[in-house]
Amino acid sequence: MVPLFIFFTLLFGGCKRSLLDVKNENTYTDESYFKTQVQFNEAIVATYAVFNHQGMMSREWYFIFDLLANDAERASPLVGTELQLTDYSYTANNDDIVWLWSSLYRMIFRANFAMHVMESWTPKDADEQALKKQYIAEAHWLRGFAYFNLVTNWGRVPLKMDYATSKQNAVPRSSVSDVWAVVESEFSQAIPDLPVDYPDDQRGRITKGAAIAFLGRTYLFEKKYQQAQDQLVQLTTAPYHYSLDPSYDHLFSEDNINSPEVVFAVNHVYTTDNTQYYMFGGQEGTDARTAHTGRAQEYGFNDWQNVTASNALVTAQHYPNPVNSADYLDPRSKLLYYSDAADGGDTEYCDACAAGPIAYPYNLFGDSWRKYEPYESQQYTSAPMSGINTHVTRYADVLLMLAECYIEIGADINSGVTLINDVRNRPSVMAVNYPLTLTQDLARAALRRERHIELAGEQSRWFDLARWGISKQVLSTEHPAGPGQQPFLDKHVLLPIPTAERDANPALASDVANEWN
Amino acid sequence: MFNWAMILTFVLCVNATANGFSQEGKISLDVRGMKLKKAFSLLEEKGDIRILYSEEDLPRGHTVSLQVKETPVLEVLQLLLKDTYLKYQVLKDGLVIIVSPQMDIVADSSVKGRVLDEQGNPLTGVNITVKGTNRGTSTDAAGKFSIDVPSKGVLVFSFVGFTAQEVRPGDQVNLSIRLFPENKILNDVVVVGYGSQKRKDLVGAIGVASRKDFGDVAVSNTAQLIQGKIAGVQVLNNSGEPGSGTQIIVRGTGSFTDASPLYVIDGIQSDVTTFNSLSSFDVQDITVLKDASSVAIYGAQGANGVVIITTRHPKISRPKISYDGYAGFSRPWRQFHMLNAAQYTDLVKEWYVNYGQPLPPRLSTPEALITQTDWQKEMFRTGKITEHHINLAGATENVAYSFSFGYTKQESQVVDMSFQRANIRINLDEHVGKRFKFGQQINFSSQLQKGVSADILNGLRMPPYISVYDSTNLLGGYGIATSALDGNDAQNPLIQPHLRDVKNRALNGYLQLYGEVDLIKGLKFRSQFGGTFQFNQKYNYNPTYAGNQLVTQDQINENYNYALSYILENYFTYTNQFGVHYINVTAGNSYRDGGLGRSISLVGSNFANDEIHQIGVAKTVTFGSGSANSNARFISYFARLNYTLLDKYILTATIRQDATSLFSEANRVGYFPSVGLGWRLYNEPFIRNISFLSDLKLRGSWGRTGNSNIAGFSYQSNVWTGSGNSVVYPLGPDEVLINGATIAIPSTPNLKWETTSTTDVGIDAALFKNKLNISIGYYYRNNQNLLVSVPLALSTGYGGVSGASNSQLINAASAYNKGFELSLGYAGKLNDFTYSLNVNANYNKNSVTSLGTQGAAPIIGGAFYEVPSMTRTQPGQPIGSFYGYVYDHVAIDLADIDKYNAIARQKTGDPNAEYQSGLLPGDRIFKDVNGDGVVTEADKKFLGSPIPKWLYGVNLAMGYKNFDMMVSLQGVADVQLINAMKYYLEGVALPFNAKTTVLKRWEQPGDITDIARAGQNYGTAANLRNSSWFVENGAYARIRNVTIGYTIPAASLNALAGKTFSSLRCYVTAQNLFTFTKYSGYDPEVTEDSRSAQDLIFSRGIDQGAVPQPRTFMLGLQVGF
Repeated sequence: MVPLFIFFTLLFGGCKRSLLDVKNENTYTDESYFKTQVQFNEAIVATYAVFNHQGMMSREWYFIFDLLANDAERASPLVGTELQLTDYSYTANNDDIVWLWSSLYRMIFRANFAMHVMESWTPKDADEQALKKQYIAEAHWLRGFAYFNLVTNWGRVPLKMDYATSKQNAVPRSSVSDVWAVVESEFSQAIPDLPVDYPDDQRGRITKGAAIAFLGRTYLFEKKYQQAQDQLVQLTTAPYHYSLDPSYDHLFSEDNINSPEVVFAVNHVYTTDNTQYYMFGGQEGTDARTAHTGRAQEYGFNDWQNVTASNALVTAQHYPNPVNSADYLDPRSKLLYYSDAADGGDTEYCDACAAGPIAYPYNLFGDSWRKYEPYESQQYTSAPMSGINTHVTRYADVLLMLAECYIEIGADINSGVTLINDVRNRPSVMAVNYPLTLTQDLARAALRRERHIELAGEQSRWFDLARWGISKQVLSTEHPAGPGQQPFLDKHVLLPIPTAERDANPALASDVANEWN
Repeated sequence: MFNWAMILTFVLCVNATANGFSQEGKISLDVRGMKLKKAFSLLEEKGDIRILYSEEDLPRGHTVSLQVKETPVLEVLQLLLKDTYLKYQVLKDGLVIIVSPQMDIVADSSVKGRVLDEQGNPLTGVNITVKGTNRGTSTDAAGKFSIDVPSKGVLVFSFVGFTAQEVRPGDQVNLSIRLFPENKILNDVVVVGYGSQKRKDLVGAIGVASRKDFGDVAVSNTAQLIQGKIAGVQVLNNSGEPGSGTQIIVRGTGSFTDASPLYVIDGIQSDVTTFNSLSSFDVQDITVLKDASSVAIYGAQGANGVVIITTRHPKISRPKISYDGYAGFSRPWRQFHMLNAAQYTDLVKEWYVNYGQPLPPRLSTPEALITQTDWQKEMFRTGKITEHHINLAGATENVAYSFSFGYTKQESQVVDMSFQRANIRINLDEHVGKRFKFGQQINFSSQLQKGVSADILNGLRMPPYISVYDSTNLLGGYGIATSALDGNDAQNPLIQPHLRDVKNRALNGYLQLYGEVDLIKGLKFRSQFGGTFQFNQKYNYNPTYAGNQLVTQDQINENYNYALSYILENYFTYTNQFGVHYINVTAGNSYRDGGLGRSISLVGSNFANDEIHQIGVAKTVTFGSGSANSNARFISYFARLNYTLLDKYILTATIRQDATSLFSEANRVGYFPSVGLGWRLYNEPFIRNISFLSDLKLRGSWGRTGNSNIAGFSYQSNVWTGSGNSVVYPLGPDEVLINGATIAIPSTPNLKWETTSTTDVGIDAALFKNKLNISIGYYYRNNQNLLVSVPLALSTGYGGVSGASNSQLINAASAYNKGFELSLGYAGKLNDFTYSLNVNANYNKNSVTSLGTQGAAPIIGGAFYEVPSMTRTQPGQPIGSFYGYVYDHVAIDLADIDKYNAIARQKTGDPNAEYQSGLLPGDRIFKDVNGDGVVTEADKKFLGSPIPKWLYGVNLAMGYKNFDMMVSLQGVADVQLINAMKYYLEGVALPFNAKTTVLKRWEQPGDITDIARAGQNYGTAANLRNSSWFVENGAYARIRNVTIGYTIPAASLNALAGKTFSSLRCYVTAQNLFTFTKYSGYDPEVTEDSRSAQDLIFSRGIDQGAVPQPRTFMLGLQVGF
């Protein structure tokens, strides 16, 4: 019996519990990974990466805001989710809108996470100290950007200001003024520690100028014109060296990262030619080590032609000559869209192609987008992979915002009109200037027209109309309900809170009226 | 109703002996007002006679009074019976029978005869008794016997190992009796966890289906062998595609993460992949352990039941070669009526008019009116299937060996996929000396899945005027529809099957080794090892092609992975009988290691041309993803005690301790106890003598089990860098992609075991000499701390990127499954006609009881196409219940809408109130469920459950002479499905092709129909919102298998082919021959291909156009050499 007992013991005592300490060899944990400057930088880069996620600039961003603001109009190939945006028939389940909401919060989460892991970072030297401050400032800016877009589009939203809160499901909505206060505070905190310029290989990161521009924009949206002016005016002098790009076309070309006008743009690039599905949700998946945008192909008349340049945009190009009230066609019409001669757009494409220019077949396509398209140098885009960077804010926008401050304050309308004329005097545009003697009302009208034309297709108008409180008035006139279609209603000033958010966030669920907002 | 013979038996048993009575004695008697029954016993006592009577025959309430002295006993009896209609009769051996006038008893007659076995050999020593007496004899060396029998008497022939037979000789005097080997159901040994038990000693709910139950049929997948054969066990086909595998669900869904059971092959734990790679011809029987007392020995792995597969092991015999094979074809069993080109164009034009969109150019051309393609016809085909299986097996006293080789090739009924599998299995068992026994088993299978299936939904949506091929499409050469020309961007479904070169190979192997030693009497030690090897290589090449408006560039994806895992188990078994105490103890340990594994995937692109489909020639190759090792490990200890007292009272108790690497150190260990009690009523004297009973047992058990079907490291906060480091952002003038790192998948540090407590009671009975078997059971499975992947609020910022879900795994919920199971089996024989009928049914109620910690927010899931989530999991409802609006009717005209708006205005008091926002004539009107006058979210309600309440199966096997026939029916009832395909095929929300039912769509005011108008405003009016319009009755009854076989008689066989063959049977099988259902989709057996186990739970029963189950006909041959 004794040997048997020993045998038994050996056999049953053989398994050590330590065998269960299986190491995960496929991924690090947050604790084992974020140790040095390189990884802290990665945490910030991952926050930037959200700019190319679904709902953002790789695809849905331009559809949502161009269609909602009637810069772009549906063409017959447009079906599905985006079609609902054209006639305000979207619900709280519209994927584009759901993704926008999700990605903005993902940007907040990743910024919160980056700030969380950097708490344990003791910089080695002064350089690292500066980098740590810069990364934190970038995180603040990115979070500010997300809340800016959340408050302008949804009004009251949940505030998640740290990593722990970020992870919580049940967070109630905060008041609009509280969210605006956060936006102001985020950009204000970002400004001091951001550099004016980056080393060349870091170009594309958020600069001090971008933070000032967004703080100014925030004040402008809050109608705090003087504070806005105080911020924006800084960008017109040293150390800032922004200037208008002489070539409007260059601003919307593959090379636009080198434009002196960029204040902040989302960078796009395509690295391989087998990842065309990336922008349909393949981000960060197996086919997604890329950062392109699909706009050129989706909007392009010789490609998918999902949208056209809207009638309202075309009509807006024709206005009374600021000097003599004669019929005037804005020179940017030829840079914005292709059309027949009557509509004022470019009537030929492929000007820089080897085979020479081709007449634009207007009968087939109507007025089609030229801006952000590569059709002057190639006949087709052939794949939904454009590397043209998406402008978020550029110097012309800054000048026009500053002009708006002067005009709205009313004390120095002259300066405002001068700034508008500066934008019109871009060498490749050279539009007739407004007289400096405009009344406030006329100056305001000129400013609004200028923003419409200059920033067409740059997802600016939706925000502008909302800020000016004229969304319904303008859009229901421009875009009357067609057969079986719904007009712009009061509720459409805000986007609907996604159903999935309500489903999983009980603190918010009962705070949504009429399944909308 | 007690019959005469029964009473005889009863009386005789009580009055133990009755032999050689005289009736010559004289007695004295003095009774007054005595009941006859008592008087008889007085007479027996005094007169030394035995009186047999049926109490039923005695006049009720009749009494006798009599005084006699020294009177012959029979005279006394005569006097006692004077005032009744009863008579008496004296039998040869002195028994006195009281007979009623209906009975007509004549004298004994002598019967003789012979008893033979099934082969016709004489049986010696067979016991022959006259039923109800102890009169008996036995057969001699030639199997002959002779016995005297009362004319209505019954002879019972019994012999060890054979089924007893009762014969009423009647007028026959020379009998020829055949005895057949005993149907050993009750003494059958049933495989259980770590051992086996006699069926009579079981206290748990265990379902067994063996070859006999499978029938000699052909199935394309091993799990189909038990489809509809075991109560409470549901076999879900993953897809109608060949080789796609199955899911087995035991007693309803009791988990939110994964409801798949544990698979055990020949006593060693395995997995579903290995199970699906077995050849069905290698399977001897499949046992499903359902209740906690049976599965608790598997502890943490047992919560979803245990499926034990026993492969074929040879019994002692000379070497035998057998061949099994079939060839056949499969076809879809149902097709839709789709619009032709003219109807389609008409519909699309109307869509564009209604939507106010310009008409895409091609639709106004004449070619748009000409039907070019019947897309269904192009996508579906007749698929050929074949299987060959050869087995060489034999056994001597010391060695048993079996070698088998199988090959199967199955073509899908949908172009253009095929599946091939080759299996090799070697099985050896050796007895070494008196004490040792060893066994080795190697199974190796190689699978190849070739091609891809046409995307059915894409094909159904294609314009009929597009032709399959179009030479003007220089990129691929296929006819395509584009949104620019056609307003329809469905992809030609044949492009991918034809152009993509897909080969997915899998090599699966397992090795099983065991050694057993008899240490001392009754004590056995067994050590077993199971190793599994899996190698997969996936390969997918596509040339550049234009499928709609998206040009797909040439690309190759290659994926390699291997996995080696093993399990090592040691246990002792002690069995002994101490007088009336029977004890069986099993105790041991188990170590399971997920072992080694590595995987890598690569993407190649930029090919010079289409000549070579190989990553080596791709100019650009990028790394897709990679992983290694880090698989789960388990350390477990277990023990079981079986104790039986007096062969009547049974106790089974088990305990298992599991520790796993899946949870953090604090939560690793789980204890899983169980206890079961059984009472074999049949062995109680007062039951034993109920002659129609062959067995009766009551059983009950309670136990706790766990579930650990979760991904590892969910408790850790893992860094996310995307797949292949694809978290990137471009920086610098060259816009170089810079890597980023963050967190995308939430962690749950406190994850712990989910536990399932099961209470089980049942009654097992066998009647009429085991001809009828009945088993009735009730179970209550209470699942606690269920691991739930709970959807997170979007505002958390988790997930949202490819490969990271926006949900978190937590122990969040509780649910129960309770229900009844019933199995009935009857086997009978009428001369040459044998038959057996087995019926099983299971009623299951599933309900969530709590949603614990996440603020009790209901779990919302099941979104499809543009339809928002349609399932809702919340307390009081089954898991994954359908939830949405209630469809009422299609608005007839403006007056109809005004009527509703008037109600809305009246009820809300708001003069501008609308009943349903955006409603126009031709839109769907939904019900105002809460009666507040307007349709809002509050009007959503539960619309049914995809978990069937009823599962049933009916299996009929028949044999007549050399013919055999097997019919299996399987069905589910009280179940709902979401016919998601209606969104496209009948919803007319978008300009796609549709079913002909849309010809009845709403077109003008006054139309009364259930099909809404074309081009409806599907956003706001939301005709296609989540509503009951999609929900259909999913009940079905399906004739799974019909097989008719013919065995060529040995004589003819020998005449035909000498002695080459020992047996030859040919058969015809039809699978899924008939389906009875009201469901309007392709197949009510909604499959879940390419979806995760979790989708199976929260998006179950949503039909999005998966490949339906085919109808298959096969011609098979079984040959023995």
